[in-house]
Amino acid sequence: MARYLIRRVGTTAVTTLVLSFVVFVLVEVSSPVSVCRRILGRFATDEQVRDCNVRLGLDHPLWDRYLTFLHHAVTLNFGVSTLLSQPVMTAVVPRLERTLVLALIAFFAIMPLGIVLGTFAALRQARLTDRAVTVAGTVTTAIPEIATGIFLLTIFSGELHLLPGAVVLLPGQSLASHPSYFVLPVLTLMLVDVGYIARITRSSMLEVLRSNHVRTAELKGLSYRKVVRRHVLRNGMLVPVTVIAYHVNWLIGGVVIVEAVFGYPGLGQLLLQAAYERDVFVIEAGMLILVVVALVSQMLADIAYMLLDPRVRLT
Amino acid sequence: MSAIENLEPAIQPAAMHPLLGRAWESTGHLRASVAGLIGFAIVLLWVVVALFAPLLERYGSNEIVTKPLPASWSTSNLPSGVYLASERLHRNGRSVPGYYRVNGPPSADAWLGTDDQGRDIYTRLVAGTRPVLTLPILAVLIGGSIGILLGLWAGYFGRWADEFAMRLLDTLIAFPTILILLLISSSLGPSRFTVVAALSVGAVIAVARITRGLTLELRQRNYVTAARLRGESSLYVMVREILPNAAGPIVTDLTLRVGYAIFGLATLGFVGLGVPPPAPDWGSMVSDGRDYIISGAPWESLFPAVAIATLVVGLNLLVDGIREQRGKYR
Repeated sequence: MARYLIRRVGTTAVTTLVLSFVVFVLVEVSSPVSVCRRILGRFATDEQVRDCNVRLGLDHPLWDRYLTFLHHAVTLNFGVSTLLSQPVMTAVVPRLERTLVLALIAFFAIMPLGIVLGTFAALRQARLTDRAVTVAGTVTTAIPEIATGIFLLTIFSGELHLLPGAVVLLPGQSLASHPSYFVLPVLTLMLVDVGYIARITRSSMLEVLRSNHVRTAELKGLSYRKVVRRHVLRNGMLVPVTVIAYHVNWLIGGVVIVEAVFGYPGLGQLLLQAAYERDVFVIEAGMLILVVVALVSQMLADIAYMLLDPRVRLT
Repeated sequence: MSAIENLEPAIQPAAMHPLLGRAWESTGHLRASVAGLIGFAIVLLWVVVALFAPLLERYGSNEIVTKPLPASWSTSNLPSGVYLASERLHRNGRSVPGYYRVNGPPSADAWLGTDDQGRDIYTRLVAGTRPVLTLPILAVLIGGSIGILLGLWAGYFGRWADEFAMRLLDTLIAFPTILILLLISSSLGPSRFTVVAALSVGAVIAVARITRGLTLELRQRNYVTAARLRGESSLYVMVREILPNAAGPIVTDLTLRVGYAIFGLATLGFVGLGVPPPAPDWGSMVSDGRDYIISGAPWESLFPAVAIATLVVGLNLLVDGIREQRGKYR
């Protein structure tokens, strides 16, 4: 078990390293126009660009810059944002908190509902409830967040005037005092993701229902309730747990988009703003943080899976 | 995984050309699924709109819908949302002042209303069908081809090739797709080329994985061994023996990828990193109209959002229909 843990942490570390390189290359190297040229615009003189290069340390060779970037990442000091003229971390941390709050609320709204609906559908396979859950799930999951968000906005803000259409925070106000700001973003994420989780749970449960040990339990004379409770639910949960882990990726992507749709002042919006304004250090820091969040949550889920399923522990 | 199965020999009308017969046969799965048929109908509708777009458009895609100013309106006190056109209109040989309406509701002049610049939403929606179908399909064709080659190579040679490719793909899959799209688009600058490049990266990862899985399974088949013993080259075995037998599931997956790519294109357009303006792009339209929803003019956002939703749902139902009938509902 200890060996498994060590190996899992090791692969997470290596993956983070590789992805940090991908982020570095995509932000600083792959562009046809140099970083400083992008910041200063077309009309800056070559002199100004050179000054900027020196100031941001971009005149150093590539490997040196990558090492600096890694050093920055490890010490959590990503330099100064060119757009906001404040340290990157000062800008990023409060945004990250808000994003995580939104993601967590969404996560705990989506998972139980998806799992319950999926289990319900599996136990009533091919009946009306099952059909309804499956078809509704397919449809809502397929619709992109931007469309779902617009539908909800049109109904709840445009027509009914029930909920705020965009987050407006005066300086000093905190999001926590306005719970209504969370309703539409979370609802959007739920509509997109609940169907998916329900589907995964349903097919996993169906597989267990068809398996030999369930048939044995039935033939042994256990009541249907007991079979479901003891054999189906526990085994049927294994696949959803792993899928949910990898789903955190999807949730993060979804949160970034939902933030843009509803003007939610989180890390996703900061990243988008940085992308327009070519604020390279903020892009690097934000991307890396989101990648680490995705990887760590996957690692935690893999460990949870191991605790749930003793068979994995042995290998 | 029973991904590879032969289609049951369908009744082939003798008069039919063999190719037509095969095409008919391969739709067999679809014809049995109601949801699949509905999906097919929706997708077909949008394809037809894209094909006949120039005939269906009522204005130029960037033309401002201008009408002659009614005599009862005074130019100094126009209703809200109504502006004087900068150019005068020519009616019956006379030059008259014109007006246009921004965020106007659906009317006889603009069936789906006018956008925040006074352009016809219906026309832009119709014109937008072309990029929204061609760019994702192009991206999936490019990304899919690379993915198929990578998957064949990894699955066929196994060992270190496989290990290397799979580690790489596992790493990339840990990256939320939309972030890859954002990174690529923001670093290369928005253009059609960038959008296609970004979207094809997503397709490579997924297609390589599914192709590899299929190749691993097919590699064990007797006909592959036979071809190898016959002395055929590895390339021949991969392309002529394995690929045709893996084609069914791969094509299904590619269709699904087109759906994801449309999803991606719309989202990139929405965040301002897609096809650059003023080209008619559904995602950009949704975002341009977003702020007017609250003030009661949802048209510019709502109709493209409906268009995106129907197209993507249609594609998903289509793919589900095919899969369900194949009995590999995942």
